Amino acid sequence: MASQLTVMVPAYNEKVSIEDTIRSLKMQTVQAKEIIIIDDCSTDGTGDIASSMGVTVLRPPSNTGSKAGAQNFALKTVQTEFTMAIDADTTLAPDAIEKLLLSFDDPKLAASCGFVIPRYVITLWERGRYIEYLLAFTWYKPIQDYFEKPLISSGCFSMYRTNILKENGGWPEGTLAEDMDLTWSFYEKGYKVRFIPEAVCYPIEPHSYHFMSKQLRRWSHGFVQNVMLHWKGILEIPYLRSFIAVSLWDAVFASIVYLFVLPILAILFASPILLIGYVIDIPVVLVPVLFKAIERKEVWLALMSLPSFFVLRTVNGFFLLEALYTELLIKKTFLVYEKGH
Amino acid sequence: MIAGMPGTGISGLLYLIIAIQMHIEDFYFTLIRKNSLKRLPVVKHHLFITAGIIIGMFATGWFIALIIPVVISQNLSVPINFNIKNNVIQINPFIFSLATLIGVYIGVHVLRIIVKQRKAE
Repeated sequence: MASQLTVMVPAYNEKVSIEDTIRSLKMQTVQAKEIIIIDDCSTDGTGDIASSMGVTVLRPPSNTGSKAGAQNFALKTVQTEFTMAIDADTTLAPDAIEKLLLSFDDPKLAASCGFVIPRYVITLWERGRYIEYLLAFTWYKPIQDYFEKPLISSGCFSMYRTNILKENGGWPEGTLAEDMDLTWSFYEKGYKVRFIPEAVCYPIEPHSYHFMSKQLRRWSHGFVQNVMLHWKGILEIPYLRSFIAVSLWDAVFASIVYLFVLPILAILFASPILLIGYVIDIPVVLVPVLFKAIERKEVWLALMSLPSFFVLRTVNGFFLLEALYTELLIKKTFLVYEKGH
Repeated sequence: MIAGMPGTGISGLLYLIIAIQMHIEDFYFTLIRKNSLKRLPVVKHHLFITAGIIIGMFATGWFIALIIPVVISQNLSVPINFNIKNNVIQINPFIFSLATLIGVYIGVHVLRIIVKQRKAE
């Protein structure tokens, strides 16, 4: 099966991280037939670093403007049965490719994704994201997978059946969340997607507010754009429609509660105790997070990072409301792809 | 990427209900000897997590019921006989969230029927 796999790594000015990514791909228990770095017209020598490490480097005539664009540029050259996409700032556990490949025993399976854990957990934003991922990939995603409807096959590390990917026209370029767009398109066409928790990847997450805000803006707009694009098709897909409906509901109401209702009530009634509303759901967050943290022997890190999660979630609420207002109400589509690091 | 607001509102409740459904389904499959070994670890892990979340929610409710009267009394400097039940998040907020979730669920299905009818026309 390994000889039937092509790995592609879209990269734009990734000289700091590309070496680690390629090295991690070369240290896999199962080797890909070809590793393609798509140097999307970097100006920092990313392509030269990749070339010196003995992988194939493709360079489009001009910057494609998005990750999807870069990946589609390389997809035309792929001849293997499976295609894997991994971000240029992401490394893998040594058996990650092997674990994902093993999941492709069903011909209807279009994509498979793994467990995501931030590589560095130092700043407030990285810590918030660490908790967010431990929660989502320990609690939500396995439940979604049990009912065969993982919400997203994460763009930072996913494997695809090449013919189904090509049949879909590659990665969609019409929204800012190409991974979500692709996953929902697969479901609409009757294909399956799996989540394999044993396949672990480690991306570099935004370390500052500047970069986190770019990523949150892109993700929030991408989510709203995909709901607007796919809502009719999604209505016919059990479980997925419920997952998306409640996510959208909470995106609106939880954001309003966090950003307006709780602080206004606390001021009106001069009662800071009302601010406990920000953390009232702590068991829903803490129990799955601790479950995974114990397994990873990272209990202290998880406990120390927990407050950051509540900060990140509240900030996320702002970007979700902004995306809903811009995309839904004033119909202004945001399509500028900005890197989150 | 993560969609929405992790951990909040009716999403949390939906996943809790679906997790319980998963355990019931799995128990049924075990009874009829149709257990899926592939999914067994997930179900086993989630049984502990589901139980932990439910216990944690009640513990939080109990804790809040305990501290609210103390905090408010201190702020007001007046002894007040609070009528807060032992567990403030035991039932009312749960019923409110459940009603909202059912409302959203019904809304999705109504929308589905409307879209289907329009397609048929």
